[in-house]
Amino acid sequence: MMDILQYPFFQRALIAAVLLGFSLPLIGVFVVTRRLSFFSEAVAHSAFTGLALSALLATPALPTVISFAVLVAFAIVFTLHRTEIPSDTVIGVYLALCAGAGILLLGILQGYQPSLFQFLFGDILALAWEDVWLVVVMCAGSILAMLAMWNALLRVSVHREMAMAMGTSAARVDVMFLVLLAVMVTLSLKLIGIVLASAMLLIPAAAARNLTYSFRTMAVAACLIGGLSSVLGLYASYWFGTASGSAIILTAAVFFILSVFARRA
Amino acid sequence: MGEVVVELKDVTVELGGTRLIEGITMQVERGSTVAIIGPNGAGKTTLLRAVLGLVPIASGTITLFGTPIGQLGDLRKRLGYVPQRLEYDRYLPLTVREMLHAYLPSVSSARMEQALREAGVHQLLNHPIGKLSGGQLQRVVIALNLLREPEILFLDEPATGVDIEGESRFYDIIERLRQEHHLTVVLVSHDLSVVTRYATQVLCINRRLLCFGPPAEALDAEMIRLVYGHDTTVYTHREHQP
Repeated sequence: MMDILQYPFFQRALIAAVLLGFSLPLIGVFVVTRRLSFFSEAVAHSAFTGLALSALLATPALPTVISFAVLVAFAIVFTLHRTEIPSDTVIGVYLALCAGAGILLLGILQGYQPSLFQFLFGDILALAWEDVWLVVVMCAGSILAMLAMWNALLRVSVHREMAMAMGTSAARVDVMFLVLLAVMVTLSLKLIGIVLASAMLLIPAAAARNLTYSFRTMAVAACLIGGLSSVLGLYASYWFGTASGSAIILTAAVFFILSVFARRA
Repeated sequence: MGEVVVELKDVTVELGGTRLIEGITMQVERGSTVAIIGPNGAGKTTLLRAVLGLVPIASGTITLFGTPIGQLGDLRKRLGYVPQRLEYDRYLPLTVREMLHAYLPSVSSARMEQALREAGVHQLLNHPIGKLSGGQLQRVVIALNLLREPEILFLDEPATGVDIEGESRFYDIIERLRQEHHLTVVLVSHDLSVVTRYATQVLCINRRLLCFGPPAEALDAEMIRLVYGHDTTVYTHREHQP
């Protein structure tokens, strides 16, 4: 079991997976409890369009993709405030819009676009040390940001108007959280792909929700499940010779299924 | 006249081109209990939300502690608010302690317990709020407000969904807390017995201002008919005849 640890590619993958597995669920507990899972999917898929846009405009990929994801996040929130259309419909409209625009841009771009496929599927085993440092910085930043706005997010989540009446700027809290979500999802995509990023955001938090009625316990459990799924999933992929991202997702899914049966009545 | 802590001048609120309230003027003195009454759809909750700055006003001015509502900033720490039922997402796992902690991170468990006891719900600190009854949850919100030590407490039909006995106890608690903590209370109610028993001032509205003053002076039979409709009959209990 320890043999594989001597390989630098596995060391890098393990560090990145554990850090992302720990920090994404910390955001995920609010994504799950505030019912933003579809929103995070839309932001993740907007990255595809952002990347096609950066290829077309010949702009740096990561800043373009992050800017586009944040723009889509704001557009969704703006539309929700301006109209009375249900949130799932608004998000669905923007998801379709991004997909349509992405396909259109891909059609304009000629030839194979390898970076697009890296964003879609990612490859945690192919990370360089620079990528690992990026993961360290973004995870530390997101954990600090989450801790800083934790209580305000909770107040707005419990009762928005009561929080506002008592002095919490709900709009500012929403914007800060959605920007953090968009940035973290987009950065994660390059490293681990859309599917794994979404899974790490949602599955550990959903599993933890089944285990507790305390928000703090839910957050701790989600981080532990995320971190543990990353370690076990990576080793499982080594043992069974399967794709690492899929193994991590399936391990987290096993925790979720176990939590369904462990749920307190 | 005492210190005015809430002042409305000719306040109008519109939504989608419809006037929800129009030309409301009133003053609330420190230490008083003002009840806002009116029939369903009269704009009571809209008025309270406007005073709290939760809905924009089309015209007029609202000042709290002499400061325009849009510039309150840190003065909001001096406000308390008990919404009409704490309708929150029951999917959110949260204990009473965590909810209180989110507002007041530095308050000790002992003080939380004391506030819950004062609000009539002790030993609930570690309970999930999703498992509490409507009445218990409203009292937890009262305890939260007590811990924040507000100067003005706004309540929007706080006893909605609570049984009659529970409602009476609920208002008794608020009145006791008002006296002990020198609160100013502004509450929305549709219940005339609450108004006559607890309010020092009553504001009657039906989109427009109908009356404002001490209940004994402002609420005569004609005004009650005007507020609640002309098919209303007023019966005076022999024990409550003047």
